[in-house]
Amino acid sequence: MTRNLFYVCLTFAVVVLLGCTGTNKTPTADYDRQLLLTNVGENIIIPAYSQLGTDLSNLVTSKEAFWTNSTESNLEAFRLDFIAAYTSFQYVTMYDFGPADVVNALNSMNIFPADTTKIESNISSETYDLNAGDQLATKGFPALDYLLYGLGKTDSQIIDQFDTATAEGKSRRAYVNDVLNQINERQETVLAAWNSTYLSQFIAADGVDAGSSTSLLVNNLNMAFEDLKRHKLLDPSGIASLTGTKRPTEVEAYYSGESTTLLKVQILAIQELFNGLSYGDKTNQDGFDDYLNVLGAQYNGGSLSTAICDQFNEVNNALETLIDPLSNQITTDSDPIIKVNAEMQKLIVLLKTDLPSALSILITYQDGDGD
Amino acid sequence: MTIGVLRFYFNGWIEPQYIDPKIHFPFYGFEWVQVLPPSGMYLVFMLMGISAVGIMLGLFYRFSSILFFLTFTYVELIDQSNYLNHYYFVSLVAFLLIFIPAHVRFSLDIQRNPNLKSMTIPQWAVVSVKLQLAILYFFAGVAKLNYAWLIDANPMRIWLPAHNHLPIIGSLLTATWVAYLFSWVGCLYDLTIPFFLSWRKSRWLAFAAVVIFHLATALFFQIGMFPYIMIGASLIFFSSDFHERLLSRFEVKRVKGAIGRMYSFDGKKMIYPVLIVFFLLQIMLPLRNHFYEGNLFWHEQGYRFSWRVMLMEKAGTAFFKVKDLKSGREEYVCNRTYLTPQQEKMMSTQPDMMLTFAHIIKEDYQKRGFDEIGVFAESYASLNGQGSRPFVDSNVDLSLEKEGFQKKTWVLPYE
Repeated sequence: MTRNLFYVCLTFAVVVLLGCTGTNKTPTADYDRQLLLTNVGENIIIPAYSQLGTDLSNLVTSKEAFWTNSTESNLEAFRLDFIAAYTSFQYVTMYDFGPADVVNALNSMNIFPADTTKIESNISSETYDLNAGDQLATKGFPALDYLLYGLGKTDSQIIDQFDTATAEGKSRRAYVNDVLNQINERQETVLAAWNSTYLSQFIAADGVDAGSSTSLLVNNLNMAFEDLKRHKLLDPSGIASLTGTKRPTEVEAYYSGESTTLLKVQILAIQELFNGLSYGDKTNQDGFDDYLNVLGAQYNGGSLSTAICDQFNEVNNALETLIDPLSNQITTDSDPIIKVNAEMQKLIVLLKTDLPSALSILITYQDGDGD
Repeated sequence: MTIGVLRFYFNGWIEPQYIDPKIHFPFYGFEWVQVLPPSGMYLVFMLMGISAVGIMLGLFYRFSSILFFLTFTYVELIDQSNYLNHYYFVSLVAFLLIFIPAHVRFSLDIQRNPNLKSMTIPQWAVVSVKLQLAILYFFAGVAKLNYAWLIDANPMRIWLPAHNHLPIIGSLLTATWVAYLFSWVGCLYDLTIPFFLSWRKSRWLAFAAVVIFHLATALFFQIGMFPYIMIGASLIFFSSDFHERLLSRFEVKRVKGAIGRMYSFDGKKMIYPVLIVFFLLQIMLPLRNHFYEGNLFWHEQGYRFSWRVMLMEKAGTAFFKVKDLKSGREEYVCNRTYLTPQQEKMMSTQPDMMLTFAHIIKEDYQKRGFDEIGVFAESYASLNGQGSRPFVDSNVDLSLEKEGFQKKTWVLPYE
């Protein structure tokens, strides 16, 4: 018995040695994830939240200017700053974890379509609590989008709605103030947390288990991508619905008509995160592409990072065929949207299956045991 | 096991696994097992915890062991997406414990009833637990005898480098030879450890190997209690003298009983048939996959209940489409409206769960008034980092396919 076992072991040992020498094809896959996390935290996430902060304070300034002097040009300046802030916001949508998760930032800032009936009843009743659970669609950027663009056919009609000579106008201004204050507060809390303690925690959590920073990034990136595809494209366009109902008014930023632009920015933001491009000057530093390359991750005979980059480009190319406002695209011709959806689907497979698999990350938000 | 239950509770896992999900994935043949309302689930976990304490202390042992087996197995049967090999192992051992007189020497029961006391227990009691462990290890070892594991060192080659942030050993884990070492040692360990534990001369050395091996797996993989359960369970291979010495330290009060009395109980006649069927089943279950052609890791028919532990890195993405068969219109289902992230993850790589999900979708749509519909899946999966590829046939209406032991022809071959 023991003797047999000894021979079994010996045979195994020999084969092990043969096996080792024979197939040593992968290079050493030693990648320091802190490089990735440091770059993403310091050069991407914090600058993105800072820019949002800058844009929001500009927005407050131009709002005050419009309150003081309600001219069409001041309304225009107010709107431009609003679009600037809404655009910067797209850069932080996929960081809905850590401090952002704690203050529920994303939910409070971009639930669309805005519930205009409820917004109007809030304004006329003047009794509302924007933090309440039933107020998700009455605040944030979609509410401002409606209040700045959707109150009348012409600019002068819209300006009239904010006339302080009427009680309604006063209360409407107060509502805009409250909505903007809330966005501001949330942004300030999140940025302050990143700047004080969270950045170092984020970099230190360099494992791959559930709750590690790499896992949080990959999971939230995927979540953001799936959400944008569904909420920004599928739902309003009706291209994938049994009833075939088109809901053009349910696109993001329907009243300003900036939906396609914002969508492109959000996808660019995700792509830049993947490639590790710093927020400000777009310097290419450590990103998921570099990490995948060190691991030697393969896809279909080529490198996985290249496959993902290429697919991002396919999505971007398809997006170029969409016009703004997206609501017009939906009512006139759905084919370009179908094409974008198909390309996005391919990208999701790579981001949700191949990327986490290569990095040994589980796509799950729940801490649990395996096998 | 008490620790296990408490850990489950304190980690807050009862809610996400048994209360949050709107739907569950029952096991084939156990569709009648239903989840209880939240208070019921907490009660079940409480009973499970209490009965585990009962087993440990040997208090109302027979009752405790039956209660523990029933509550534990019930909880595991609710949802396939929570299936873990070590939960299966716990259920099996819990079943054995019902029959085994583990309460007749060092227990509180003999304080209550000294007549129970017995210095010995029948051979089959100890042998059955040993056999159970041996089956687990052996089949786990045999399962590792495959090309990916031995020649490519997958999935170790993918999993280990991910732990390079660990102090001291971290950078070592990225070396390819380490992945080979882990694969081969793991395989060798599984295949031989029951034998080395059985042999008196190698026992201590083998036990040291058990401790090192399982602590290493505890360090690298999120596998919860399993390593500690296995280390504890391996002690069964030690002699009765060893256990006498170990346990007598904890003896509360020596109870006088019939010294040298042989344990006996009435059900002796039925115990052998039960054990024979029990073990025969366990030898057959891990082999059932041979009835299905193709790549077992890909189609997973016959994968569960066969000690295939930590064998592959598999991930998947599945888009489900409901098609109105009259109008031809299609709708993409949002998986997350039905499933928790954990359920979605498990479903995306396991064809039988995809099938269950397709049926759940159809039922839901029919309730909403869509009668003539089909459910199709566009799905992709990746095995051992080899790149994602189409998983199931997107032209097959999954809502018309039935679950069963027949071959799932709609799973595309692995290419």
